[in-house]
Order: sequence, then structure tokens, then C-alpha cells
Amino acid sequence: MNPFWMVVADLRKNRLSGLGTLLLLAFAFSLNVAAGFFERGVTESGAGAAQDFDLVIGAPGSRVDLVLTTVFLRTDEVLPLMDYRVAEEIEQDPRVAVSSPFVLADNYQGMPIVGVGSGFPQLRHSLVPETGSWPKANFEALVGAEVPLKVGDSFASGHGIAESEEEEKEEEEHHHENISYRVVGRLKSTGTPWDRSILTPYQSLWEIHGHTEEERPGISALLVKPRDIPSAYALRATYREGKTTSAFPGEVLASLFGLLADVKVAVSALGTMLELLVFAAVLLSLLASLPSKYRWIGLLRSLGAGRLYIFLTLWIQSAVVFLLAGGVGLVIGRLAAGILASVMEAKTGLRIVLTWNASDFIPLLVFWLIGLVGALIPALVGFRVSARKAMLGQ
Amino acid sequence: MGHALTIENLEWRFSANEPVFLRIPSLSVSAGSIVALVGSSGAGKSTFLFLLAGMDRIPQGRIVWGDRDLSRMTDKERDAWRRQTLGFVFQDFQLVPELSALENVLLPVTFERWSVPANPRSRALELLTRLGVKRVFARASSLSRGEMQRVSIARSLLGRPSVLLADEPTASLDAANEETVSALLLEAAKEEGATLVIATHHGAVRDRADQVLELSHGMLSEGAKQGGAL
Repeated sequence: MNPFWMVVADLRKNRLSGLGTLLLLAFAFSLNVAAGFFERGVTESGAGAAQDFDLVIGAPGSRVDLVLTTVFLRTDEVLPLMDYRVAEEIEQDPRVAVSSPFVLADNYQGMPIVGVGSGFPQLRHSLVPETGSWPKANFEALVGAEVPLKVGDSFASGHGIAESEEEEKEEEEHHHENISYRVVGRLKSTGTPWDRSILTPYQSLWEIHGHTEEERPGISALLVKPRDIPSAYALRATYREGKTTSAFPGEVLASLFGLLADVKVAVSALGTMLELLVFAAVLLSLLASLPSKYRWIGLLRSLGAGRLYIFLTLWIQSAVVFLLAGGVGLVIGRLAAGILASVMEAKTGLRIVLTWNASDFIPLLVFWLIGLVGALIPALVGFRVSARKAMLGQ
Repeated sequence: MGHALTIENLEWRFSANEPVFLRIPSLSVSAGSIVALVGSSGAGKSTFLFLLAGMDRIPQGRIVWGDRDLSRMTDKERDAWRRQTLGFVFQDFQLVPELSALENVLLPVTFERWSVPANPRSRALELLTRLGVKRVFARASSLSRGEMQRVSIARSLLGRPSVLLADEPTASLDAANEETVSALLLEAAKEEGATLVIATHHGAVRDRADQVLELSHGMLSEGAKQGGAL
């Protein structure tokens, strides 16, 4: 038995309505797929970016801002400055293994210049020079993989952290023209916002703004590697209130990702409702269009086709649309997640790497299962049609 | 060789609550003969042909083709009987427009087999050639009406049927095609040795028939030939 001759004939005949149905189903399904890919991509990529950060301490204020600025180099919220004398006290704390000041100030062509201390390379193991070395003296710079500068280049920084084109134009007029940085190394690509960063000793940023080390003008945050886990919790508790605030980036990000997961659940719920509605609409239209197929059902029966042949033909005709729609929906969803990731990367600098996972195919299998079962309904109705009545269009 | 047809005490209605639509106390048709079925529109010729084709249950009476009693066969057995024994030609051709002429002829083979063996394929090509269809790979929708009916006849003959049923096969054709197609169908039935029951208004077909049956108000009677030319 080969029902595919009639399946192909039907698909040819109804190619426009079939394509419309397929796309409708595919788009409904793609919403869930996109939400799943995006949420996992953000979580995994965010966790990757935060992996080297044990504890960050800053001036009193938002812990979320503190984490987003130090981990993702977010530049749209300027952190309040932390008193450097407090930072020095913390650095002397016996529970601290390694620490580094963190100053986010100027920019070069919109790429942030980050002032760090000598302990920074021990804090961020994932940042490794591909060529050259870590800066040792003021105004030496180690640039990220996406910064268009090479070892030996010199550049002048712009004042502040440029965000918009208008601001950039304004910044161009406020270059620290008389002082230039010299590139001494380039970092390996990390897939994080640090690829667009320029690292330099934090004292460079003090000096360029006319401060001396003795003045101790303040830093954005202090990055800390505690000696051990009890020390980590103790340090966080000690510096959480009063003149400072502290946060475990992993903990803050986990709560943010939890929020994202809630959004994903809401989007998935909407997507599932949309899918069910489209499923129901498609099944109803399949049932409504069934009488238009009675003539060929009658023809096939009069030529000797059994009910099973009719059943399989009708089932496969609908099933093919559901199967293709699932596949197309998966691709559309993945593309949509990619576009969302690009938009987010452009906005935040966080490179979201979308990966394929075996679990991505579970919604597809569920979609296919529902489709294949739903396709049984018109097939069963066609199966029961009397050959004579079908032929006479009764 | 064609099968003889015997009908006994056939009473048929559209549903249990409706009056009898067809009442045929008895009928005999010789094997291999050509039977013209005449009657006004709506007299029930198509319904009668579908009953002869075993396309519905026969709750009362018997329709027997050769030694096969359709009224005692299950739905599945009647399907198999149609596949093996019957050829059907329709008034409006009933081709699948999206398939080629050749695929339309071979379509019944796919009811039982996944692929089409060489024998039916060469027979289909031979039938199409014999019936004058040149564009065998063209989509059925692109054929002329005369070609479409030739393809329909070729399809009905593919399985070397013992029984051929034709429901006003020339009604949708122009005069020239009407003559040609009628002649081809009658010749083919003779050559294949099939028993042909043909519902027709065409006088010449009626004249060449071995037996004329007239259906009126649900009753079947022997009719007369008309003296038309073919």
C-alpha cells in the first residue's frame, strides 16, 4: 500500500493553504522554542561571565547595579564611588586572599576603560593575554579581543562612558588629548563584555582626572577573592551594611536568572495557549474541508481502495503539515532567539552563546505527538464515510 | 472472461425510514455481454451502478456477479472484489488532476503495493497508446476532456476486469469525442471479454448493446434499441 501518491497530489493541490497552515503552526510553536533557547543562553552565558567573581564590595547602593557593572561592565548606571580608605581596610582583612580595585571611568570609541589593581589577574583566570602582557605601569593597556588596537598602538581616552551617538560626539570634544595610553597586550576572546574592555592600572584613571595617589579619590568597587567559603560569607556579612555594600555575583545573577526563568514560564504559557488555539483552529479547518475530499474518497473506494488506505492518506496528509511545522518552528524559534541574543549583546555587551541541547527536542516531540494524534480525527471521519455517499457527494 | 450478473429480490432505500428507491425482483445478464442502462435523469442509474459495484451494503435481496454474492460480502471483501474484478468509468472522468495521465492509470496498483511493478506499467502505457493518449506524463489537469476520458477508460481496464461499469461516460464530451470514446469503450470491453453495464443516453450505444435495461421510478424493465449509428 502506498498512500503517498495521493498525499503528494493533495499537497500540490492545497499548497497555498497548506503552507499557510504550516507557517501558522510553526510560528505558534516557535515562541516556546525561542523562549527556551534564549533563557538557557542568557543563564549559561551569564554564569560563564560571572564564574571568576567571588565577592564584590562597593559603596552603599544597589547590589544588582554593583554586580552588573563589575561582571558585565554595564555602563548605563554609574556606580557611586567607594571611599578608597575603606577599600584599603578591606584589603588588609585577613579573610581576604586577593583583591583588586575596580574603576570604570573613561572610554575609547565607546569601549570602557577599566582600571584594575595588580591582584586582578589572580582574580580573573579567564582573562589571558594572547599577545603581550598585563600592564605594569600607568597608561599601559591590555585590550580585549574586540578592541581595534594592536600591541604598540597608542590612543587617547574619552572622558566618561559614552552611550549614545550624541554623547559620543560630545565626548570627542572632551578627549584627554595630552595623555595617551600604550597597548602592551591583547586578551584572548572570552565571549563576554570583557572582549570590548581596555584594562589599565586604576591609578592611570586617577591621574588622567587630575588626582594623585595621595588624594585617594575613590574607586567603583573592590573585587575580592576570600580565603575560603566561611571567609566569603563572613566578608559579605561584614561589608553588606554601613559604608559599603557587598554581593556574591553568582547569587545576584541566580536571582536575576530566576526572574528571567519566570518570564520564560509566562512566555511559554502564552506560547502553549497560542499553540493549542492554532491546533484547534487547524483541526477544525481540516474537518471543515473534509467534505471537499469526499469525491476523491469515493473515487478511490470505487477503484478498490480499502478504508485503511483512505485513513492513512488522510492521516499522512495532515501529519505531514504538523511534522514540517514542528521542524520549521524549531528553526524559526532558534533564529528568533539568535536575533534576541544579538539585540541583548548590542545593549549589554554580554555575548549570549546559544547551544543545542537534547532537551530542545522534547517540545518538538510533544508537538509532533499532539499533531499526529490530532491528525487522526479527520482521518477517522474519512475512514467512516460510506463509499457510495462519498461518490454521490451525500 | 466476464461474469454473469444475477439479481434477486433487490430492494434498496437510502435509509431505513425512507421508501424503497430501487426494486428489482429479478434480473439476469449473460457473461461478457454489453448492457445499456437507460432512464431519465434522477431515475437512479448512478445509484444502481454503485450497488452493482458493491459500494454499499445490500440489506435486502441479492446481487451476484459470477459466483460472488455481494450481499453476503463484508465491506473489506467488497473492496478486494472491486480491486480484482471491477473497472469503473465515470461521467466526469474522476481523474486526480495533480497526477500525470500514467499515474492516474496506475493509481489502483498503489492500493495494494508500495511500488508499481513493470507489468502494470507496461500495460498502462500500452492501454494509453491504444486509446490514443500521447501525453502520458502530462498532468491530468492539462489534458483535453476527450483525453481525460480515454485515461479514465485506460484506468478501468488496467486490472483486466471481468466487470466494467460506466456511468454516462460520454455525457461530458462533444459529439466527435462522444462517438470515438463510446466506440473505444465498447471495443475494449469486447476485447477484454468483460461484462459491461453502461448508463447512457447515447442511441448508438443502446443499439450496439446486447441488452437494454430501462430504469424508471425505481423499477427496471427490458428496453428497446433505438436504431442509432455508431
